[in-house]
Amino acid sequence: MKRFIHINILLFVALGLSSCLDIKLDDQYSDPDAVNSTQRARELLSAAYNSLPRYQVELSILGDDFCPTSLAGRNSEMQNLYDWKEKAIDDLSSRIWPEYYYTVSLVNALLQRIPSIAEEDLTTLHCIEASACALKALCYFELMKLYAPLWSESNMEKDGIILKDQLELEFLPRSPLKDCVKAISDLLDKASALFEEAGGDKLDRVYYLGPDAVVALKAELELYRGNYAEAARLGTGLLLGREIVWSKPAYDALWSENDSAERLFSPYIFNTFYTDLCYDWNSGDYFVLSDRVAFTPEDHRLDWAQRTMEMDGRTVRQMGKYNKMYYDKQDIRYINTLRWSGVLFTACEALLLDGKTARARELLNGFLAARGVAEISEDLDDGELMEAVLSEKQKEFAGEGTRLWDLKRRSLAAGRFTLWGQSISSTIKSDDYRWLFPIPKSEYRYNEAVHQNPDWPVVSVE
Amino acid sequence: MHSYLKIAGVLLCLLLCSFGLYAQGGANVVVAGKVVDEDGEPLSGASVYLRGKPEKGTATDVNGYFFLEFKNGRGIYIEASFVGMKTGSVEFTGQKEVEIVLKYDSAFIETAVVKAHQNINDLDIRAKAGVVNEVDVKRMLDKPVVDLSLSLQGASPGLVVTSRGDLGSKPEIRIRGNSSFRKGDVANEPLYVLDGQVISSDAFMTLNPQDIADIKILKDAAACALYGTKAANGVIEITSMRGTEGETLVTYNANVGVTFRGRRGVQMMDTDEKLELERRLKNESAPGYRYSEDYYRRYFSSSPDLEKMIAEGKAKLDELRKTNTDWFKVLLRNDIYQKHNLSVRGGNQKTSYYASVNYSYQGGQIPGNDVNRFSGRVSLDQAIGTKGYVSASFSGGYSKANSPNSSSYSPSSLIYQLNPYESPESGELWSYPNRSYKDLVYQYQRTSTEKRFGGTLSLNLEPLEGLSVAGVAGLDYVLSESLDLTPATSYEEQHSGAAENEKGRLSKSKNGNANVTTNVRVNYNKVIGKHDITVGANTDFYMDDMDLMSITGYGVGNQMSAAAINQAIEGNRKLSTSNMHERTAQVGIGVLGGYCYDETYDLFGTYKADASSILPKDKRWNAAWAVGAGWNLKSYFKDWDAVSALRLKASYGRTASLAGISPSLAQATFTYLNDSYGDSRLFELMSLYNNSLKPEQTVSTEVGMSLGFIDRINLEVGWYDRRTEDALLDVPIPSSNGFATLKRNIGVLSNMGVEASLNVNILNMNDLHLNLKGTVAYNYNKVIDLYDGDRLYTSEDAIIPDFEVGKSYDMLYGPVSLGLDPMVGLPVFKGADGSEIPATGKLTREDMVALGHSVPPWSGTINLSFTWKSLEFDADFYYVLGGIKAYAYSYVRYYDDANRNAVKGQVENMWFQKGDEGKIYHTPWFSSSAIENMTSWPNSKSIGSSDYLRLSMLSLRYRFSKRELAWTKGIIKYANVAIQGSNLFTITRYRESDPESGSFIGAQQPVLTFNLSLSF
Repeated sequence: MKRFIHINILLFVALGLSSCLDIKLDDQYSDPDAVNSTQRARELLSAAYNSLPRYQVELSILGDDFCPTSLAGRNSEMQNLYDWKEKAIDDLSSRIWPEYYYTVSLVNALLQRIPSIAEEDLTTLHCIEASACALKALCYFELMKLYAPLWSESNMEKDGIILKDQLELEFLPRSPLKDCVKAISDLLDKASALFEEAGGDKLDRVYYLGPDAVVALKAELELYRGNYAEAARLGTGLLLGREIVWSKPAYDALWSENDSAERLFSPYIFNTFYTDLCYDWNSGDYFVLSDRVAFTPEDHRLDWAQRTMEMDGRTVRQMGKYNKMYYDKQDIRYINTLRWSGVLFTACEALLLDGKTARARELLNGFLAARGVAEISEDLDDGELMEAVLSEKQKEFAGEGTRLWDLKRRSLAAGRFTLWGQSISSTIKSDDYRWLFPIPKSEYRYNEAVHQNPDWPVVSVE
Repeated sequence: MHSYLKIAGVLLCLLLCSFGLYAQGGANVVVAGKVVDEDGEPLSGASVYLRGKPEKGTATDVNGYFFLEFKNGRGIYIEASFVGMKTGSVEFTGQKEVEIVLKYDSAFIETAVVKAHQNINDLDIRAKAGVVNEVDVKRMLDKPVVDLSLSLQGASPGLVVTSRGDLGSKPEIRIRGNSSFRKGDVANEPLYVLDGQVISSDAFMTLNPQDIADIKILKDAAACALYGTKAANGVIEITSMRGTEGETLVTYNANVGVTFRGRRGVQMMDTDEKLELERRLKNESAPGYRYSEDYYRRYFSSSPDLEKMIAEGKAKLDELRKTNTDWFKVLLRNDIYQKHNLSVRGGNQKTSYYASVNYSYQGGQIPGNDVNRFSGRVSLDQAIGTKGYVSASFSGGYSKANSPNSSSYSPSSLIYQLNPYESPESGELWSYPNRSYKDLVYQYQRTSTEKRFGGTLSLNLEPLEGLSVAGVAGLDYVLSESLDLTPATSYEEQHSGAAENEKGRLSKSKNGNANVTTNVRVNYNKVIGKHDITVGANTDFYMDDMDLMSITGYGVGNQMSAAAINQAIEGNRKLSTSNMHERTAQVGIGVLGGYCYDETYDLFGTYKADASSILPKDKRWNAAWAVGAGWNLKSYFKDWDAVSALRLKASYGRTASLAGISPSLAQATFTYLNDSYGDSRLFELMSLYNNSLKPEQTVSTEVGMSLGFIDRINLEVGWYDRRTEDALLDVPIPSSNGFATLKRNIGVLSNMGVEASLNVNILNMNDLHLNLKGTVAYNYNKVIDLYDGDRLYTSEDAIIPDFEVGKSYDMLYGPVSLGLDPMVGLPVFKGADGSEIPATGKLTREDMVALGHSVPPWSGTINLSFTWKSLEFDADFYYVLGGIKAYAYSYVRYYDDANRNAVKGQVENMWFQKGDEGKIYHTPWFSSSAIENMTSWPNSKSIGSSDYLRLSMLSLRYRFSKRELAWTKGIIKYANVAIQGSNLFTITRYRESDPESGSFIGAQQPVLTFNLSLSF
């Protein structure tokens, strides 16, 4: 009997002590009340934005903005990427895919938790949710650009990307292209609706996607899926009254820590950026600007879009912008991801394809004049005009990683230059299988529901 | 329990021996002797006296030795008594030395008095059915090694201690292999308990071996279950030294000696061979080719100055030939070893005490690598009437380790890179272009210190006969600090491009780790006729609080101080701080029951439920239970004296394990990052969480036998199977989930093995004793089940599964190499169908064969003890068998790295041209990294057996007799001197580096010391 009393006492003591097991850790916040305020929601949103992958250098190397220098051979990884070697692209793909999905997972973590935040003033919370949806749409869109086939009647049902809505282990198949595009469109629409409900952008920071950036993305999406009129409407709508932004100070400010009126969406960066192009400050870069990216002396962008230095006894035009900032030891705080000039080019292209040539020409010339560049010749036909638009776009965005998508989207071949860009050694044809990046091993080896893109090798082990 | 027995025994013998003895005439004689138990193990603190004159006796020292002085006469018996043992005696017939063997007294428990006993989980009852191995502390003390954990190597079969780096780094300690698929200490480390108080492995490292009375290794479920879910990987129980009844004894013990460079991992080239190799590799970045005739003839064949150039080149080479540096000797050093220990112990029947201070120093092989340790300890035991005891012990320690090694700056790797024609005075080096020797050393400095404080308070009461109530409460705190400096003068900082006032990187971290233990236990024991019943219950509470703070800053110059950090720096070199604070607690409640019939049959069962703060509320409670049985068969051999003991035991138990689980794995957990995003902080998800995460379950089965034969031979054999169900692992998941891995319960693994020890008392004469002991442990691990299919690949590139059902999980796989193709100089592999696959071909899963175990399955020791008069000789060998290690071949040079030194004999063993046959190293003009088959897997020709035999301890001791110490006029009671060595040599077939750690620097260094021990 005595024994039972003792055991009872022990039991009582133990149960008493077990209540002290609800230990809150100082620096870790677990559910259910981890994300319990607007501020936390915003901090989680910031983490998602901060995780946005940065592959501007690599994607530019795949495009035709650059040509190799005598140093290119010192970096076999980059040289192989420039040569579109299967393995180099596979390696790049294996980094890009998980990083975008990591951002998506943080957005999903936030979106799942927003409904449970008790807040009286919902406007800021709506903006956070809107900005999160927009970020997810951006990630999906960027993934689509690399991994999904082009929009066409015959590709509608083909594998696009994986659409991921839950923060949990899932083995999902790639969704059909049309579903992917719809998902992006829906996310952007939801973001717009939420911003509207909130009565505007309460976050109001250039490093979050705001209502204008959402419309810009939407315009780009509509252009991609052939809704030219809609793309033109959205693009020109956004640009109304914005012509004023194209000024030299605003352009120069893009490549600084200061505010610039030309930015539409520029993620904030705390670390170094765009340091990979440089071999070392004395010797120069692995790649420099190709002749496709040439500026006239009057061009307002000249100061910042390129940098000149002596390499191997010749004066070369290096990539400017972030690369120049790196040489100048300037801290980089903003990565100019969406710019107003991008909206302009989307609108121009959409107008042209919609048959509104005059309006397109007018828009482009207005922009060129502001940049200090001569107007487009009146003699160009629609095809040539389109070529001119894309060429001007390449100059405007050289080295920022957008060219690859334009080449792919417009089914253009990617020329590979020889040393110093003296000639074209080979061309990646528009029907080459490598335009569709391979699904990385980290996905298909652990997910039987996923199929590899055509012609890419698959590691088989069974 | 031991100390408990001792006091009781002393009291017992006082009672038994309180009758008078007639006086003796004659001259004074001094007899030296030793008191041992039935196994020949020395008994320390045993009382020795003449029969009838216990008050004029003495006590044995740590090693069981004593000197007794008395008047010679007839009919003199020397008696010895020890708690828990029957008093033994020897008739004195004029011999110089005597040995008294004491037998265990099974009846003592009823008469014994409660004695201070701090580890209240250390119950005798569990040893009757479970596996509790005692470490031979005396042998451990004979080994001059600063780290307690390294001195445990070979101490018990199945306890595997593996050194893994330079001096001062924590070795890997495993009891019966890895119980988890997860590698690393967190999931596989045993539980450390000092006097009933849970301590961290870092605290264990810093304990002073001289303060340790005994160490027990708890291996199976029956032995470990009292510790609940913390003990899934076994327990190491340490009992500290305590005071003894008797006069005060002050002991000074010193070891002074040298530490050696150790075994040369690989013999490197001398200047002549190196220059010849360079010439043949044809890389102009190496002087052997750059100044060779070949070079000039190739590039300047039409030059009119050709002959002059050749002559100049030859002169250059001749100049280089004058230098022949052995970098092994330049970069490694012999250093000193010293250890000083001063202890005081004594007491009376009511109170006893022990106090000690210790200082030790061991210098490492690399200049700048050493370990300093200072520790102190006090313990007190006080009787409370006749019903109980209260005990307290406090200990503290300070330990400091210096290292010039980090992952990117390792002076020891330079031994295998610098050329023999280069010297510290060489100016710019060929092996490191643009750098001089100075730019390679003094590149980094790390100092880590550990400050430890621990205190334990316990109470043992026996309010009623058979009922004992005991409680222990303790705190152990370790503050680990580290300071890392990359000085401004280092090459990296000089070439970082940073401004002068921003150079010099310093990291400082402080990690406070507190362990709190409380444990209350009630036991009741009743003997009714032949039935002996024990029941008990306990409740315990453990708390672990870890607080890690670190800062990293720049601009310190060469100053190793956080105060020197330049806080004005912005940008990438800005001062950064981080903090991690984690507190976890566990509450447990347990019951136990034991039954013994006629001292022949034993049954034991225990159940413990533990709740941990780590898991969410609904999964908080987990159980550990075990049952065991013992059967003493000696009674069946009553009439056959040859069998002196025979005992069988078996146990089965199940324990949940929370090792390596943190809250963020089971539920969504966020934390703040140091960086910011604009004006916002970053609140990030720590990992993808697994809602259905369960603790691992360890199920262990054990069968054992112990056999004593003609009182001379003792054999212990045990078989075990420890199965881990719901084993956890970070498994790769589709990357579209946003994370690369997720901790999941993925399968079942098992560790199965046999452990045996054989002790043979070969010679047992008056002056001569020879004892031989051998142990062997075999461990075989296997994947029993994987929940998602038959194979698991943890790397996306792997074609060989890391885990496969039915296979051992430490198996190395790779293709069979058929040697080099004499035509191209690249290896040819054997395909599964017998075909030959060239190095550039594609190997498939089928082509891979099991090459061998990466963890050696066999390990054991051979211990030899030999005493002759006052001379004692002990030697311990440690061996490891059955494992393989892949060669890194990092010392073989090809075209690209021709400018660094290479392994001796490479010129002869390398393929240089078509037709070269029977070569080991492939063609130098092929980048091995370009050929996946050569770098992704080891092959049958790139592995070596990691078997080794090491002389881990050698001790030769001389004990001065009383007569020899007579000149001290009784001031010195005992004295002995010894020459002791540790890790003096290693025999192995492994050609490269150290077969134990697999690294060039990890070899345990040989230490040779002189030891002096004096007791006053």
